[in-house]
Amino acid sequence: MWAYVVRRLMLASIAIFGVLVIVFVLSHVIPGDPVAAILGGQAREEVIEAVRRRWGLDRPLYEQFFLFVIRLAHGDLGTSLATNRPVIVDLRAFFPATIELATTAIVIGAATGVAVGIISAVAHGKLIDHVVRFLSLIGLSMPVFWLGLILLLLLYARLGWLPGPGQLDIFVSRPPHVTGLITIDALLARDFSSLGNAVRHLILPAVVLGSHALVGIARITRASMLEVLGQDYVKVARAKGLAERTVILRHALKNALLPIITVIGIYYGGLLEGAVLTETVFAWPGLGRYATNAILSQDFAAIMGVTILIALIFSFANLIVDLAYGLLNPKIRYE
Amino acid sequence: MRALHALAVLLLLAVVILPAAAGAPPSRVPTNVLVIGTVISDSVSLDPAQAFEFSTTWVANHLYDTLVDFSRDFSRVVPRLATSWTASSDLKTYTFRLRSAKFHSGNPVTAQAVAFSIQRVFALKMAPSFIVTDFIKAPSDVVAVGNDQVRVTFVQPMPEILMACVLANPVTSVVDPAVVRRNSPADDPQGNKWLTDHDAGSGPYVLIGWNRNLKIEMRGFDDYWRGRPRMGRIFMQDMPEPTAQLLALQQGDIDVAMNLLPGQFKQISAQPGFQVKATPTFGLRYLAMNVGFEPFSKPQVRNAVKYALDYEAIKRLYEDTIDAGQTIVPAGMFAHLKDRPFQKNLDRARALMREGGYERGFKAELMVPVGVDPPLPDVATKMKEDLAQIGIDVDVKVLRNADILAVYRAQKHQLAIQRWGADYPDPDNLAKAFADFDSRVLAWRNQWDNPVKAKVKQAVLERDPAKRAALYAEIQKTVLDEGPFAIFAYPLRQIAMRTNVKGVDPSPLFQTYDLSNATKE
Amino acid sequence: MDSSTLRSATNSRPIVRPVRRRSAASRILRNPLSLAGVLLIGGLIVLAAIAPLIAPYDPIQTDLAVRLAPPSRTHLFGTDQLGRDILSRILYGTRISLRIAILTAVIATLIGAPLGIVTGYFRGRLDDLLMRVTDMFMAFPRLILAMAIAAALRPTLENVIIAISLAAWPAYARLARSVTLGLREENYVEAARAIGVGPGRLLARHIFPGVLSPLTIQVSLDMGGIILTAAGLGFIGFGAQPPTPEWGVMISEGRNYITQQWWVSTFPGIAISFVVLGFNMLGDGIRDVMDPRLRSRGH
Repeated sequence: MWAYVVRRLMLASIAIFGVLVIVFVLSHVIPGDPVAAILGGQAREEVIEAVRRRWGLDRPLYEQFFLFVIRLAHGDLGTSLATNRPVIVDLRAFFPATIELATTAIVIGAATGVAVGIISAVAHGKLIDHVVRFLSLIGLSMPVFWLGLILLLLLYARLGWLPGPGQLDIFVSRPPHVTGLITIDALLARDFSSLGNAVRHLILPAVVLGSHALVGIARITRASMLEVLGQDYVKVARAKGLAERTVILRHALKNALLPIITVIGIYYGGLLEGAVLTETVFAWPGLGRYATNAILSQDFAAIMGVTILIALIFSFANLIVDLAYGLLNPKIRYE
Repeated sequence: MRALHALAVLLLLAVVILPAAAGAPPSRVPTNVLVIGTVISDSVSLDPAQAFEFSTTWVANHLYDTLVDFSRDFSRVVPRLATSWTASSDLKTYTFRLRSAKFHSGNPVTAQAVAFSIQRVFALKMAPSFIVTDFIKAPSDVVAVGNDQVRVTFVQPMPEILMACVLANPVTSVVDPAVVRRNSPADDPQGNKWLTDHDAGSGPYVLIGWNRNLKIEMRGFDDYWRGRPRMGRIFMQDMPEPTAQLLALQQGDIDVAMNLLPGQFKQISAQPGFQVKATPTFGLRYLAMNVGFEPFSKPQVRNAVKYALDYEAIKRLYEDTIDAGQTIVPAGMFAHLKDRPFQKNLDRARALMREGGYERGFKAELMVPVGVDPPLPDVATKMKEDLAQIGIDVDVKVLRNADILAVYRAQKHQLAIQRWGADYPDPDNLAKAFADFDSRVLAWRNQWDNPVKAKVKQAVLERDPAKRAALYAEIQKTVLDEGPFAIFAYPLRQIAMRTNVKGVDPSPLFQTYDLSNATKE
Repeated sequence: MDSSTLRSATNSRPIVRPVRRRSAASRILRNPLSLAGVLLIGGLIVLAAIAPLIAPYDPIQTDLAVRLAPPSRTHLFGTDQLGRDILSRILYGTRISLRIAILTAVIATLIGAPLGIVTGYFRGRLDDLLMRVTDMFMAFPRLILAMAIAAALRPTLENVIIAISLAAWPAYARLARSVTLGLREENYVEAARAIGVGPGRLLARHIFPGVLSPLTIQVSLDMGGIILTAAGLGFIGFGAQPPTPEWGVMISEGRNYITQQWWVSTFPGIAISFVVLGFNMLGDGIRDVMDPRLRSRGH
């Protein structure tokens, strides 16, 4: 198994390097001008030229890439043109917000999704099953950004049940920085009013972000449970007179879990994608917005930094999913 | 099953269109705190030598002091760190006497600090540095005389207002040399990186922190020379979505909203508990026509475009929150010319197209920035329709401003919608940009090299206000009649706030927004 | 995240045998889910075709006198900020969304399927190279990749299609490859090889038909996701250009008015949901019918 992990890691690093080359070339062939974007339309030509030189943007492309790789080898992601700070500092500031949002979203999505999936499978063919299946198709069909806008309008603006965009109410002070995750930090500081506030702010964007995952997980759970419920050992368990609840939770669910866990893992890695749109709608200061801003202002260093981080997470999520698959199902051999 | 879907949609709609509660819910913000919804995601640096956007120059104006300041109507120069000043008879050299003031660090503000700060602008050569270097030749022209006097020598005669255009600008803010030096590593001798999100000023507010894409937080400075400001804390909350700002204002999460859409300002001003304040700005929106693009090399074709646009319709797209001015010096500024010769006149425009040799029309690409000013893409769509009527087939491209600026600076555009905001409140700034090819700004980008540029250079040296105004009138007329710009708007600046907020007034120049007199009831 | 990644993961080793097509078509129509999908999509195609006949107004003609008019008898879905009739724009927008979905699916399949079949059949260096390239593309979320590509190209409708196709083809290449890997060991393929059928003919006659049905399943499952990705690109400003009535762009423009003029972005949102729903039902139905492994689970 370790040989497999090493091989996967090597392949992943080749893939990530390839992604870096692609993104580097892509972001440099864009017709835009990052310096002009940062300095605005009113800067004088001589200033623009001076800044280009200062940032090494006047050098040939291969030289810039070479410098980038050398710096990367030293663990230096460079400085963002748009924030005037090291990219690593920016990532450290923005990433926790996304982790917090994505984790909450997947917890909500997985818990609800598995529950709905089980109910739907147990009630297979009955009205509730059809309703659930149909609603889940609808859920899958709504654009997340649109759902976000509508829910914001509804629950914040019209009804006032939930707070608006952002991570905390404005005058609620952030708990002292330990992990960067506001809820965890508030918990550590025993600052329960901040905690409550942060949780209230999390609900809406997390539900929106997790909605597609919820539906996907529910569908897989249902299919997987249906398959297992038809197996002989379940019939045997039922025949032994075990309580239906025990049969479903102990025997069936345990064996149906494999594809469900896989799917949860894949969705977790994939939430980054939805985060781009969700964070825009909810003014969430996370990686998705940082990435969008970086692409919009063609902030090369920031784009590359985000690329590395996302590719790393994505590759690791895939690897862990595959390993979990193996642990849960000893029949699978790693080649 | 489809009935189910329809039912869900109907339910959703029913709640969506429920009327919002009338009146204002109580504010959730304590009375000694002022929360402003604004856009800070474009902010690069709070270092006054680098700050060049709305948000950063505005904040810098609160963290730092300049030597002098403008009166609210920009007609006079008033003291700030300097209590008084004298000018030489040729108006080239000014000597300032400083008041006794303290930096936030507790250090005294000295003449050496003033010289250090302006010399720093030369050393860093950042975006706003031209405001200094256009008028002061070398760092050595700023000299400390003793501890409390500073002598500044300019390259040209400087009437008092022009002097203040330099020395009231946030770029010449006074920084604390001791603090800057303490935070300057070898590879950054001017401490630029540190000053990006720290402050070393003497202004009415002290920077508590800047959370990127979240908020800038300031607290009142106890030892401010004018006395501690009444508002203990100011939060500038980043809210890029206008709708989010509106909702937050209505829900009582913020006190002031800076970036609502024209229609939203209208909506909130009608709601009890809220007020909207407006002022003209020293800025404009224009359609640029590249003279290097064959059809626009003909002045007749350029004027045909100016006669084809529907200025009234554009005004409606802005919900009447613009002044449809057409000259380069905006209303409210010295020497503004009121001429508005262009109205939609298709006969005239078609005749001009004929005269220019383009009666059959042509194709052109129009670039318009996304996210700069919300109605602009709609304005472009409307222009496409207008120009089709005189045979110009316009292809609208909504692009990131970064993309547009790259093309614009390389002089490769055909049509582009852009904006300009005065860097300082003097017609010289606009004349240089729009009429002086040699300044390499807008006239240059549109490859319009007109002899009127000599007048631009002459006007800034003219000491007699009447003659100076006459020169700027001439410049404005030339740009209006021959230039490659169709100016279609002087935007009004509006801010929306709760009625209990007092002392927050918009200003034509954003860097002079002043929150230090703000109070809440 | 959209559903396609998940499905390509769970479908990575489908057990597929060629299915007789005529019976498949009739089974699709007999499955209530896919029938609903077929009806919905068919209806939309008809709407798209006759949009000029039934649209009450010109979708790009502005009329500032009636800007932001609420739904009424003259404008069933109201008007937008330029006074354009939203119903007409949505009707014309049907053409755009369908075009994006179909062209993207076709282009991505045309790139992915041949590559996957050829490398899967011949294995070797080429196969390794393809796997590494697809690794690269799949090490990155599709929307963000499409965003980067769309930003590098200029924002036009054609480029949206290119960007999403470029981001989507690796999944199809992998699917085609893995199916081919299985098929080349099948008896009938080996038999054909033994009697001297050339590789070109073999791939076209014996492998390709076997790859077709899993690809069809995958593509039909992805169509909805493609439309959502395109709308997302439009929403964040990398999409179609005005005055094109693309739904994602319409939602994005309308969000500025959502508190007062809710209809501007609500109707395009419902329209997207309907189309995606249609494709999802169709895709689910096709999978139920054509994937014997799933069918055996019994619905």
